[in-house]
Amino acid sequence: MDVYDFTLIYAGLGLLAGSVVYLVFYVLFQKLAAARTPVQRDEVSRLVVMGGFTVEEPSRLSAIRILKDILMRSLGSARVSRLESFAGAISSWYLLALILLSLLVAISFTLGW
Amino acid sequence: MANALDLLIQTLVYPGLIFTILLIILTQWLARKLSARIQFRKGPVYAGPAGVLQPLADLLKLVAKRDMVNKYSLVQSPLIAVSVGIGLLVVAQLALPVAYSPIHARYDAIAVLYFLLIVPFTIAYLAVAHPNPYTTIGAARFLAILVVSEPLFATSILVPLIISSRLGGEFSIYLTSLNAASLWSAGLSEALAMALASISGFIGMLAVLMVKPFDTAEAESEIYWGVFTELGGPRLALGFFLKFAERIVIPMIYATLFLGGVWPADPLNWAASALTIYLKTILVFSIIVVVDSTLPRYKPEQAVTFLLKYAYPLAIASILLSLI
Repeated sequence: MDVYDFTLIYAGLGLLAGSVVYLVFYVLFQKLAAARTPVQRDEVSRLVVMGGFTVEEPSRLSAIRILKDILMRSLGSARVSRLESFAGAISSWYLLALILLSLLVAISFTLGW
Repeated sequence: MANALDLLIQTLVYPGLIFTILLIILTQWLARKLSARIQFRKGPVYAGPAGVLQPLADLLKLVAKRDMVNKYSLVQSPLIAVSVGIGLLVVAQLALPVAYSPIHARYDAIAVLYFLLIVPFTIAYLAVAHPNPYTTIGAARFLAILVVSEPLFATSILVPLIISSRLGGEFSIYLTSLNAASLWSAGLSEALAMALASISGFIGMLAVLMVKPFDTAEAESEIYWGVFTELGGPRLALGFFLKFAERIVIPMIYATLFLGGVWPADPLNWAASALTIYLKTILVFSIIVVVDSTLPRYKPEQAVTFLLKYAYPLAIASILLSLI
């Protein structure tokens, strides 16, 4: 078997297993068990409520904007620390550990361990 | 190589769907008991002996509920995406030594990694398909962690595969599992690379699995339940199914590649090999549960910074060492 056959077989079996999950755990249970549950709806069921108040349209957030904000803040703090003085940075145990790790890799390459 | 009937049985029965459900019941019971002990509680006690059937009772309760969504939700596509995600997770076990007739090929690890790295995105899709301010924040946090943690986990996983390729591993997870114990003793740089990759891989695994300190996506005290806030009934059941199956399959791959594979079992004896892999998986799973129960939660940007600052240097160093 080559990797292309492997990928096809894997994808096919994955779709088969996924279909069985969907048909058994969603379709079948909805038809056999959930359909017997009486529908409970009243005049407030369709109202959109946010923060305890009914609103016409809920406020929407952008997931991409939040994602960019998180990444900017995480990278931003690193930028601030880079602006600190070199003497301050070299005294931090993190930088020493990083230098040690780089030396380890460099020595291993040089000596061919 | 497996024939069609074997593939079907392995996909749907063992080690596939049915056995995965049994494993989820066992591991979730273990997780609840362990975290309860840590918090001085008893954990589940009523359903089945020692409460072992409580996860099954919870699953049946959720799938038997009538499906309801809010006005702005997508109806079918998130369910189909999550079901396919579960299918891809279940089939990953066929490429591991737990299968009695495993499927493998040269470079199959790349295909398995590719499929597995798709899976967490189906949870993010499930979340954004049911709009809610808390769900959107949870999904954005989850994506921020995934963008950083998935390359980290994949890089770490490559280290044993690269080292094993010199011993006939052919970048196949199954073939690597047969000689995984010898990777630690192949040489000094190989042992160092394995040690560093096992640390960075474990950290990456915690982040991919949304385990503390990286569970910002479902921070109950801040954003209710984050990615799961708007879910209920069968949708929540399928979301949990995916999450719990992921907490078995990813640690199983970690145990297979970093904890010596089938060693000390005879690779020719698949039953002993499978038992060994399951025991190692439960060990890794238990460590994850203890970590999840004891550590506090990072803020989202702290989690990303931690991964970039501490885990990435280890992963890059391990890859470089493995190439010597």
